Amino acid sequence: MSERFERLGAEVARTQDESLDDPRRRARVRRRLLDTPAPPVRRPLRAWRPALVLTVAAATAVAALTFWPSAVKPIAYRVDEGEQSSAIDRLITAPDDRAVPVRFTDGASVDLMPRTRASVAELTPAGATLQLERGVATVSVTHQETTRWSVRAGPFLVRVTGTSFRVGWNPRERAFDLEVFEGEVRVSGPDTPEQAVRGGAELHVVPQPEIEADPPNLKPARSPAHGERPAAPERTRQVRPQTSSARPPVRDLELKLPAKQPATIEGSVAPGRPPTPPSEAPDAQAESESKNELETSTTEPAPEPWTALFERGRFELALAELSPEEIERALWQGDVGDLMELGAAARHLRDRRAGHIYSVIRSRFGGTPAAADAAFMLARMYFHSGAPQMAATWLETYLREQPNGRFARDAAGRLIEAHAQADDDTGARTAAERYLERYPQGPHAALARSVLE
Amino acid sequence: MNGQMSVSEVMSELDGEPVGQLDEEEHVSEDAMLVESLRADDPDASAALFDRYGQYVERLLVRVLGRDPEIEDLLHEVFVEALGNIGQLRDPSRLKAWLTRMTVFIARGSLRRRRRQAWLVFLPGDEVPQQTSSSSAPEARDLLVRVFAVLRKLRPKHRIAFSLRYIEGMTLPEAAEASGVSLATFKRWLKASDHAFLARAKRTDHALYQELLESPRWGAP
Repeated sequence: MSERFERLGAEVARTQDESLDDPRRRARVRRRLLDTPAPPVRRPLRAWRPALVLTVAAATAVAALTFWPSAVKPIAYRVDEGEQSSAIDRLITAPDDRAVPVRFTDGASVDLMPRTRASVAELTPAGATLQLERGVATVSVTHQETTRWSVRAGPFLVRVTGTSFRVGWNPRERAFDLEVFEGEVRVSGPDTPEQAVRGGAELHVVPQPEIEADPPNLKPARSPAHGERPAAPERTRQVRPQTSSARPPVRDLELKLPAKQPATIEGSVAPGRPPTPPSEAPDAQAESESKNELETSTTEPAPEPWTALFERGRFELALAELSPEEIERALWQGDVGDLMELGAAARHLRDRRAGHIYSVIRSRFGGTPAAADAAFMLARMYFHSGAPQMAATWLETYLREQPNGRFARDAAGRLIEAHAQADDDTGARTAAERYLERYPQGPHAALARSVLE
Repeated sequence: MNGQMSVSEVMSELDGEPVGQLDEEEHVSEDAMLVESLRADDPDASAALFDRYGQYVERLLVRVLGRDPEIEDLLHEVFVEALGNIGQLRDPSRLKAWLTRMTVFIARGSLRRRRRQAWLVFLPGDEVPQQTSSSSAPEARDLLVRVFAVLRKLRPKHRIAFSLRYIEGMTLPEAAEASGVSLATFKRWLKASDHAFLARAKRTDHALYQELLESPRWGAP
């Protein structure tokens, strides 16, 4: 058998070699390497060196404790160009139509997206703790040696040293959302150990009802889970996409995140829905806190750079030139047609933000054909990333929302493939039967028949 | 094996071992001179190291990870670690073997990290790390995609074993050394990777499984 593997591997290597030589990539790495100050060459430790290191460390600690300036002031912040403030636990609510900038004296900046509510829970000389009550915040923290920044969002804690990222929290659905643009953060959640999340990674966590806890009459329209078909145990641990109108059953609000969930798909994508800035009236608890609230003014915002680019159809340029904060504002304020174009541009460019763009479209425009199309695009992305289960879930979402939509036939066919790749024989057979029923001459008909044989 | 070890610890471990077969004799003296230059903080030495081994390390990363959005960062990481730990390389003639092992160690760390973080349901960088090639035939591209789709489901050490032995074409001793394990351990890994690959292909890509078992393309049945 090994001889066959050797030949297979050799052919794989030949194909890889044809596209391997990428001098631009190496040139970029070379430049990064040479632009970075050379790391100190670490020599093997001599016997006396550990003692020296310990001595120096102890002396440093003593000196730090002795001379630490107790009078060092905590940083302060400024909301929306207002007065500088050191107020703690004062609620800041962004209005419906624009984001609110919060600037800190250590250089950090937080943009609260429309309808987001947050407070500064702690201010120290090294940073701050932001309490995100609801909505989405884009955070940029300047890296310094002593930076200590964190964001609390429900039961989640995001610890930051220097980075830029977007974090969202929807208390009503207990949905947590994180996308790291640059650098690295460490995130911990309920009953889960702290994990590093690096630039380019995105995390969605939404409540995961146990299958057996689902209401027996759970309507498909309220959940994309296949109510008619029991899911494998592995699936119950995965995040399900939800339409914007969907709400998890009240008794299932507790997150089900095992500390060490078996890895089903490496580097996989799971459809999740970023928490939406609530469009309804804030809950009673939030209202009761309004006495301490700082409502920001709602003056007419200046035209944003993204509007001009969108109007000219320069979506690829927008992805290249707009800052993460500007992109985020565009996502929450742009119209659906533009956002679909932006998503298509991101996919074309293999831009890692494509998934987030489609998630926001689903979040903002739930129930529309565009939201269904976004589900189909997410399915394609998951499928090609080797996450067929997630792809199947999104395809089913699309077919439920747009059974006669423009991608319906393609989605029905791809659903067979996705179930088959996910080892879900029952799902594949069901999908094949449905496909043949509707498209007996369709391009996936042969596949469907082979599945049913 | 070395899940909890730092890169420098792994490299120190390697340094005491006999000269491996990875070293190419004609490069040994040049490697030794290069290492001396690096240790002497020669301003051109870092560039020389990258120019000499950048393509090799990149190829090794691609062999293990496929066409992956992290390749660039990992390539950078390998050389940053190498430059930071060059003082621990006691036998400069073993530079290539040392870099090889460092590369495999870092690639394996990346694979492990992804598995550990799978509960976080990440959206990976590119919409998909596709194994595509612009110039090769569609069948070859398709095969590449399908093989890596199966490899993605394997445990990191099995994926490493499969990639080094079959795709990179290392000999068993070379692959064992690059993986930082004994020859016997590597053979166990490889055997397990063979079984795992076939089992996974049988479940997820039956056509590939059948072809692998039956097609004369891959050898006499």
